[in-house]
Amino acid sequence: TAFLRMARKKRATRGTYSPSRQEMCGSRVEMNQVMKPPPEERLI
Amino acid sequence: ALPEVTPDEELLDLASQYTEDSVKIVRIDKTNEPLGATVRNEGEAVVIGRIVKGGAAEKSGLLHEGDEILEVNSIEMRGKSVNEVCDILATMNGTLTFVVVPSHYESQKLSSKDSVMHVKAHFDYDPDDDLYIPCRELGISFQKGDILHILNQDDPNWWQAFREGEEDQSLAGLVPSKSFQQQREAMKQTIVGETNNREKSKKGKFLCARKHYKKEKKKALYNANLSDECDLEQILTYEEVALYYPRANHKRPVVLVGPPNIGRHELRQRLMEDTERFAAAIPHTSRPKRDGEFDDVDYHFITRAQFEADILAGKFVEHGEYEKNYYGTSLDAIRSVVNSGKICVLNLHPQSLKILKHSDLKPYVVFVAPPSLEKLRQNYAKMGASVKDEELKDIIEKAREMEDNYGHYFDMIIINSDIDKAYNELVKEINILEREPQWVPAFWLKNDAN
Repeated sequence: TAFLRMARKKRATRGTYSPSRQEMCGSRVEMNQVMKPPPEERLI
Repeated sequence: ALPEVTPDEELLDLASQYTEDSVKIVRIDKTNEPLGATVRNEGEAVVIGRIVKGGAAEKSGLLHEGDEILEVNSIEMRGKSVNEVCDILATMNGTLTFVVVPSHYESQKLSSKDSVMHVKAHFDYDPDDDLYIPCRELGISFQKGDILHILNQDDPNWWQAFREGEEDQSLAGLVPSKSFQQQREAMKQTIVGETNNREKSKKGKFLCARKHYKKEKKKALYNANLSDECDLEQILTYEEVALYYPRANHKRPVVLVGPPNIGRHELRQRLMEDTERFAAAIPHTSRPKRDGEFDDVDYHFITRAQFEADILAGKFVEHGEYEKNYYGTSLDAIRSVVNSGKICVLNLHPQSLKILKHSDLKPYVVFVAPPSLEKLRQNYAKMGASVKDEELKDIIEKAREMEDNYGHYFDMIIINSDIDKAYNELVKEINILEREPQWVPAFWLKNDAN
């Protein structure tokens, strides 16, 4: 049971991905180059 | 009362204090609710970030994205942080007088369309976990399968939306746009894939892996916007849906999918007892007809060569080989049940769902899921069957994998902890299908000739 729980937890943090698909047509963009958190907005 | 621009002397006096080419004075009535605009800092300036659907700011049409707010009711805003601005505005109500420097591109913004797009979400989203949401207060959470009404797509990264069932909220919320979510997921996969590749080459098993990887990197730099990456379509984000009204002459086939040995076949058998209402599709087979069997009643009996030709022609939703004979269910067989005015009940492998979805049959897909391990064990004990825990765990694991891989095809999930309860739940749902409109993939209706 402990193993199952551990495996499930691992899955939960990794989401779905397919390594083979990734190898076939991987997109490689540097994460921080495109993804900058936007300036904070507040609601008025 | 509608807010209005009043060029009275007091206001002209106010405006004359500013040296900017053009300042604008607008008045908006505010209640205790937010006006429905966001502000962001640009250096010292306080600038309108977005106008939210449903709020007083939007309805007035007087504030625009990019407008700089100089003062509100004579309180100077320049130099204040957005948090301070937010706190000040929260305490104000009644008529607010804004002095703003209008945005240069406001005229373009007027052109935004007013049409609503409806989507089904294929991922879970929690704004509290999202580093990238521009305004946390406006974020709305949703889960796989939720219907979202998208009201505004002006921002390419953040859509304004209502979640179905919560349309009574006055202000729309923010959800990641389709392209933003796709990009984010593609990048997540890249990072995981990269780690994966590195681990492989460390082991020394894939000597060519590195070379290959470099080539890919180069390629990606040329299309950094990811627009023509082949896996984008496979990243599940949103699916456009439309309302489908039940039709007497087209009963949607009910498809049961799920792991084996948890009562899926029993559910189907129970439904089929009502022969007036339900029917099975007649399968094809390449095995010879036996005594007492009738062609086109028990099976459509065809030759092996014909069967293979039909497979190649894509006529089967699913097929397999058993004791050297082919068996399969064809789209035509399902269609003829639909045409007879009955509800076709199908037990299929989830792999068939893609074909079915892209046919004209409009299937309703029910995932029959196992209950907890404990409950499953009890159910087997009741039937007098002794099954090892390992096998039960295997069933549960299979169900979880199916949900991961095919969950976006499901219309309904039934947890079969008690067969009577599950059956009643299913019948209730089928009754609703015949009475009430449902959200279906939008392309089903676009392709509809009728």
